[in-house]
Amino acid sequence: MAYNVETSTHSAQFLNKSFISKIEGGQTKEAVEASSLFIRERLRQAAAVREVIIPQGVTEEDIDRDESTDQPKIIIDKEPDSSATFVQFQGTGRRTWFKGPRYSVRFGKVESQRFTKSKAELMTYRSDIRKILSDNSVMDMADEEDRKFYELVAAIIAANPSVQRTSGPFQSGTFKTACQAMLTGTRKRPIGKLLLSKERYMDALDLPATSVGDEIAKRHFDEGIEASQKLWGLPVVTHVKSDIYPTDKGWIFSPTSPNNFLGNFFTLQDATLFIKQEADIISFWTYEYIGIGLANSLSMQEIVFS
Amino acid sequence: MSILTSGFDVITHDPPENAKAALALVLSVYNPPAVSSSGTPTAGTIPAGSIVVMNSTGYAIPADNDAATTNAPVLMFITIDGDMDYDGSFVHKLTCIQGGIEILTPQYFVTTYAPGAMLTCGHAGSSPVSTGKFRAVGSGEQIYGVVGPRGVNATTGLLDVIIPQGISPASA
Repeated sequence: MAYNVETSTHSAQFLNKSFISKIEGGQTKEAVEASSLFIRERLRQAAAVREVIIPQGVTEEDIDRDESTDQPKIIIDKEPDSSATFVQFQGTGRRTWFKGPRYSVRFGKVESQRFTKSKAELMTYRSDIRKILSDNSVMDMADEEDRKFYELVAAIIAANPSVQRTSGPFQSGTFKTACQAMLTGTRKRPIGKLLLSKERYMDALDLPATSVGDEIAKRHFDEGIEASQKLWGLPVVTHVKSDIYPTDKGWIFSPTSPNNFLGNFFTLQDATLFIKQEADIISFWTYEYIGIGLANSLSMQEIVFS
Repeated sequence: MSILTSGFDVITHDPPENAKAALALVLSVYNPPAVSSSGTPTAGTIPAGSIVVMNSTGYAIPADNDAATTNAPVLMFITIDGDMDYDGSFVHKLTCIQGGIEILTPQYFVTTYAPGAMLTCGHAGSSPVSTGKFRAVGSGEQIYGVVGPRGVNATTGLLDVIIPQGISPASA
C-alpha cells in the first residue's frame, strides 16, 4: 500500500545513506536489490477490510462538527423505510411524514511504533532498514484496521447469532444456507464478498470433481487454489491474519458498491510516514486517521466451519 | 547471546507536548460498550482527568479505593483523553499518564481542598460515588497526587492537582 511522506527540514540527509542516495539518484533497481538482502521474518498483508469496504478519502470539508467537541465525525443518512399499496381509483396511499435514520462514523488514529536510532548505528545496516520498517509499519497499521473491523463484526454477530450465524462443513450446502439467510424474509440483503482465511480457502482443494466439476478440479490441481477468485460465484477476499480473524470462520458481506448496503470506511488522512532528525538521532513513524462504521448490521453473515 | 537479539527495548510512549516529564502509555478499556444497533460507536464512561488502574489483564478500570485491586500500593494513572469523546468511543483506548504532570480536573469528590493536601482515588462507597475521582487521602490509604497551589477554583470548579511519578506509600 502506498503512503505519503512528511519530513522535517533536515530529515532525510543521513537516512540510511546507501538507500536514500540510490533512490535519489534514480538507482531504484540497486536499492531494491539492497533491500532484498534483508531476511523477512513473516508474511504481512494489506488490510482485508479495505477489500470488503472500499476506503473513501475525506477532507475537512466532509467533516461534521459538533458543539460539544472539536473531534471529527461524519453523519451518514440511512435509507428511510417506505411502502406502497393497492387502492381503488378514488383512493389514495397513506401519507407519511418521512424521517430517515442516520448514524455517525467517528475517527481514530492508528500509529506505528516510533522508530528511533542514532545515525552511527543506522550506518551499519546494509539494507534499507528504514524503508523496510516503514513498509512493515503500514502493514501493521493494516492489521489494526482489520482488528477494529473484526471487533465491530464480532459484536454485531454476537448480538444476533441465531439469525446471522451459520454452521456447517466447508461444503456448498453451508455456503448456500448462509447466502439464503442473507436473502430470506424481510432481511433481503444482497450478497457481496466472502472473507476467508487462506488456510480455510485451501479446503476448497478438497472439493471433489463430482461437486465442482472436472474443469475446476483440474485447475485446482494444476494451479492451486490461488487461481480461483470465487467460490460458488462469491468473490473471495482471503487473509493470512489468523491472529485477528478466527480461521474456523468466514463472513459474507453485502456490497458497498454501486449501492452501499454495509457501511463506511473513511480515511481522513491515509497512511503517512513522518521522518525527523534532531542532531544525530533519527526518528520515523507512520500514522493515519481512519473511521469505520457498519451501519447495516444485517448485511453480514458469519459461517462457522465444523 | 547477540546484543542485537537481546530483546531489550525502551517502549515508553512520547509524552504530550504540555507534559514533557510525564510517563505516558495507552491502556485499552475493560469491557467497553458495544456499538449501538445504528452503527454509531457508543461513548464510554471514563472522562478525561479521572484516575484508572490496570486490572489483572492489563485493561484500564476506574480506580476504586474499595476494591482490592486498588488497595495500596497500586499504580494509578490519569486519563488525559477518556473514552467519552468521538475518538475514545471509536477506539476505546485511553491515553494515560502515570505521573509527572500538573492538571486541572473536574474529577474529584466535591469538598474543600487546601493547597498541599494529599489526595487519593475515590471509591464506590462514598456518597456521591467517587470512583475514579480524586478525594482527600485517609489514614492508611495510598497517596496519589497533591493539591496544587490553585486549590479549587471557585469559578470553574476545577481542582489543581500535582501528580509525581511513582508509587507512593500509604499515608500515615
